[in-house]
Amino acid sequence: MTNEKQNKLSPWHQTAVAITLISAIVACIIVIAISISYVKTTIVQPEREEQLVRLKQIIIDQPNNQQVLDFLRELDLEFRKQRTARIEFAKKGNLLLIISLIAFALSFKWASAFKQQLPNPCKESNDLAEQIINASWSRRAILAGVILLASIAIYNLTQPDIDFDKASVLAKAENENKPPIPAFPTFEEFNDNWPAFRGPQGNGVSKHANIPTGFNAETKEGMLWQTNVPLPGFNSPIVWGEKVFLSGATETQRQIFCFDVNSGELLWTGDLSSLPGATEPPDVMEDTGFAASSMTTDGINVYAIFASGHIGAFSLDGKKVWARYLGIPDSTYGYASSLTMYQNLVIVQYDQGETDDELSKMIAINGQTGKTAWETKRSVANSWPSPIVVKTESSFQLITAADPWVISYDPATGKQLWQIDCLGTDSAPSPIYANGLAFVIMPYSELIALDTNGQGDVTETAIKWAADEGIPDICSPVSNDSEVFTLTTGGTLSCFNFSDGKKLWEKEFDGEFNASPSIAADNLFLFSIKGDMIVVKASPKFEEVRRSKINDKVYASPAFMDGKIFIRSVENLYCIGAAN
Amino acid sequence: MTARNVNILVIALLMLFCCSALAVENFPPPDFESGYTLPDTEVPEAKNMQHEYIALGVLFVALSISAYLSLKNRNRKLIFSLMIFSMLYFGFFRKGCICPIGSIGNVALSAFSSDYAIPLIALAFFLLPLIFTVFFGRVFCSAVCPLGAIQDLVLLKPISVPSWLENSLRILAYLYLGLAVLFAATGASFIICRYDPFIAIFRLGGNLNIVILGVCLLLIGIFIGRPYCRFLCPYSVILRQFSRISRKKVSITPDDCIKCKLCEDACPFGAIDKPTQPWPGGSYIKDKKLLAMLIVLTPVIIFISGWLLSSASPPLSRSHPTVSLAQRIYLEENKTFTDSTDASDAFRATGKTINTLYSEASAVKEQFTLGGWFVGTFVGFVIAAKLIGSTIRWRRTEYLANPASCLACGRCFKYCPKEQVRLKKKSSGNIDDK
Ligand code: SF4
Ligand code: SF4
Repeated sequence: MTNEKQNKLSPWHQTAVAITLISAIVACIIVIAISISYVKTTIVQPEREEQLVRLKQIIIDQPNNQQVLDFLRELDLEFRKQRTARIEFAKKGNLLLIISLIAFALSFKWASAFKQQLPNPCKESNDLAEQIINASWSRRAILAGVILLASIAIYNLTQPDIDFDKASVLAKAENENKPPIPAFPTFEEFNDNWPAFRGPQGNGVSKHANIPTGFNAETKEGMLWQTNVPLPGFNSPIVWGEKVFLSGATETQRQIFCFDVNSGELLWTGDLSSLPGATEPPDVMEDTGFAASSMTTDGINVYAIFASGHIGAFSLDGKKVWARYLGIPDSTYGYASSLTMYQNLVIVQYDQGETDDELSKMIAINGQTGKTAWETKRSVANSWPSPIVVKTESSFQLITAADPWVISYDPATGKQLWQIDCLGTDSAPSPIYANGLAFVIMPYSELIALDTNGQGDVTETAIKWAADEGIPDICSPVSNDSEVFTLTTGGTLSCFNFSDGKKLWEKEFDGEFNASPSIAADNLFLFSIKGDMIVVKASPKFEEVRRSKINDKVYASPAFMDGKIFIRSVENLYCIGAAN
Repeated sequence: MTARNVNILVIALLMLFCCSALAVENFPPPDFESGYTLPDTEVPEAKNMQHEYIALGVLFVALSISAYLSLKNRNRKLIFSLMIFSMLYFGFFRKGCICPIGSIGNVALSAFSSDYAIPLIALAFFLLPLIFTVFFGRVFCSAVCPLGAIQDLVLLKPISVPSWLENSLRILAYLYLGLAVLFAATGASFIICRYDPFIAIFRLGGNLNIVILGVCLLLIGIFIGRPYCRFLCPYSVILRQFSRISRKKVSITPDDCIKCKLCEDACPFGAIDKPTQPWPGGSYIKDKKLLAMLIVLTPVIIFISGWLLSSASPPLSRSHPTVSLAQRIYLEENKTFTDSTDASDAFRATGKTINTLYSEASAVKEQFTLGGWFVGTFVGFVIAAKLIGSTIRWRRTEYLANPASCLACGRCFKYCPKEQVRLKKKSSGNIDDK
């Protein structure tokens, strides 16, 4: 028997061969198991993945569809569990596979050791020739390799490359040639216009002394023009320079209208109807509609938001600058808070859901870019007041009212300055700021005067006084710095002493009132839904000045400019003023 | 086909299947638009350095044992056992990190960047094998390096590579080393670690491309002994030079070589140098002329190589995050891309000007151009040295383990009849280990 044969019959050799075979079979089984699991999840599971993607798309369109949301979460969880299990399985499988392959290699080597071939030193070889060939082939191979590498390098050389030095110079030049972003208007420019709901400070006070106190709709005396507004909306007109803006919307249409101040001519219409977003219209009350929020402007662009959660910007000459979808706000009566401006920031009070839902937030959007500049969450329920940006003794403050907190923010950063727990459900009247105090209204129950100099939770210390008679549910208050006036929906106009909240007088008017009272040239301007404009003296004593009437329904608060009043009715826009 | 070959085929196929099994799958991130609050980021506790010191201790002990086994004990079986231990410990248990090969990146970065201080452990891992090599040859490669071990394990049917091919392919390792140092020094990336071909196998999962690379190298390694070690490993470039000057070297025979030729084909790594034949006179003169010409051409070769690599700096520099970001921003600015990436969005959110980014990218490119000159010069020098080496007529009178190439694996020992005599004497108790 030869040595090799003897080795082959040795039990060790047979053991080695057996281990080699077994480990090879085990490795095969593991590979098959891993492959099946892989195929199962990559070929069968994509369907589930597609289903998930579809559901996610649906939930973007219908964020409130709880059924879909629950199903989506369930599916997602199941999907993740399976993935985790598979990854775990693959990990263990890999370990076993590696172990079996190592066992295979070791036993293979062991088995091979039994039949090693002996060296054959007597084989024919020409060492000299080999030596010479090796030397010359070495050189050739090196040269070939070098040529190959050089060709790759040369090919690379021919590829286009970016010269960053040049690009930097060009970018610099381009930057210098770029038209500068127009500076946002100064505080004074703001005050010269009516750039937001209830004016530049949101307090319903006009600085102009030449505001007409009446008109005659029959003879058109004192009426400059009247023009039709193409779409309905309860928002108030805003004015910048020679242009008046307002928005209108239906379930399917969302538009912005720009009118000429002097002629009432419709200059342009901006359309935000075909934006991506929810396919279903939002749930709104008839009294709120789809365009209750007033627009705002910085004199560069105008900005509008709708009950559907769409917000957009147009330049003053009607070019769309940007548009965004903030998601349908979860609002009981429909979203109605107006926009306001701080420098170049469009401020959105996006209150939704209940206090615990943590859905409400303040959003500041860069007017030029449409990008969010800051966003601050707030623990308040859905609400309808509009935020105001005011200049207090020390700084600018963004004051908001909602259930239950009145909160002030730094309008530049969104940092919360102070908060007061003093409001209740269904908050609708907007806060005002006058002569160092802020005034907020808890519907039907209290008019509250607040100190604005605190920090943090100042519920215990900031309330100066509270009055509880003649408190409205919709209309916001107005103040001439020595009295504060409120107007209820039922028509009760009340006058309170500024310093202590003592009621000075009260007067009942016929009709219903939704438009907030305003002050111009020491007069109070009241607009009933039926179209009555009642002017009374803004003084500690009641005195009626004049009454006029338009045959139209008025819900929106008016806008005041130099010698002019702009009144939006359901279908028309009126300009009251004396002809030059 | 013999059963042996079938077996090899089976293992080759199985290893190919490993690719799909080892490719790591990324878990999709949570995707809730609203209501999902990200958990607070948890900062992991500082890594326990104890394990690192233990690993350093194990490295030291393993190197010492390896030196003893290959130089004194001359026992292939024990060397193989130590090699398997190292593969399991440094490879699978420690997941291949930190390893002396990858530490080249750390050393290069610390040498060129004042912002980076190399961790002492990384420096120790880099230096320890080199110190052992100076004294005992490549004992790290023989039984301690996990990368070498896994390749050694799969070497089932070795075939020899012609020495001219081996000689030329080795330039790749020099080029790889040069590029690795360049990339690390410029802060672009640690390419040795990034493209470590066996890391995914040690970690039982990883990037699919790396898995494929590793499995392919192992498939080649079934026939060609340790392909990564011989043609790619950047650390081997340093080890080779240190091993040339090592005080003790592995020798095939424990005694004097009797030129029996028995060990001639024993080395699967082509590391046995045969005795040379006297060169024919004509060839001698021709080669002398060639030698003279190559010496004259050496500066030209070095210059061209330096120029080529420095000119290749644009594509090379794109691996640097700053340059790739600048390029992306440039293409976005020029409207070649109308969308943006997370990186470009993040950059724009920083408020940093594009000009600043361009200037930084330009500075990095300049570093690559300069570094390209250095690497190119180095590679050019190696090429010239190899060309010159091929014209020099070395004289050898016996079979020798090439001090640079010998991996001290101990395979050739038993082929030597003198070794058999030693073993017999040893078993009969007549001698100690040599
Ligand atoms: S050549 Fe490189 S990879 Fe191979 S054993 Fe040596 S250090 Fe490890
Ligand atoms: S010890 Fe022998 S077989 Fe192993 S690498 Fe060195 S020369 Fe080759």
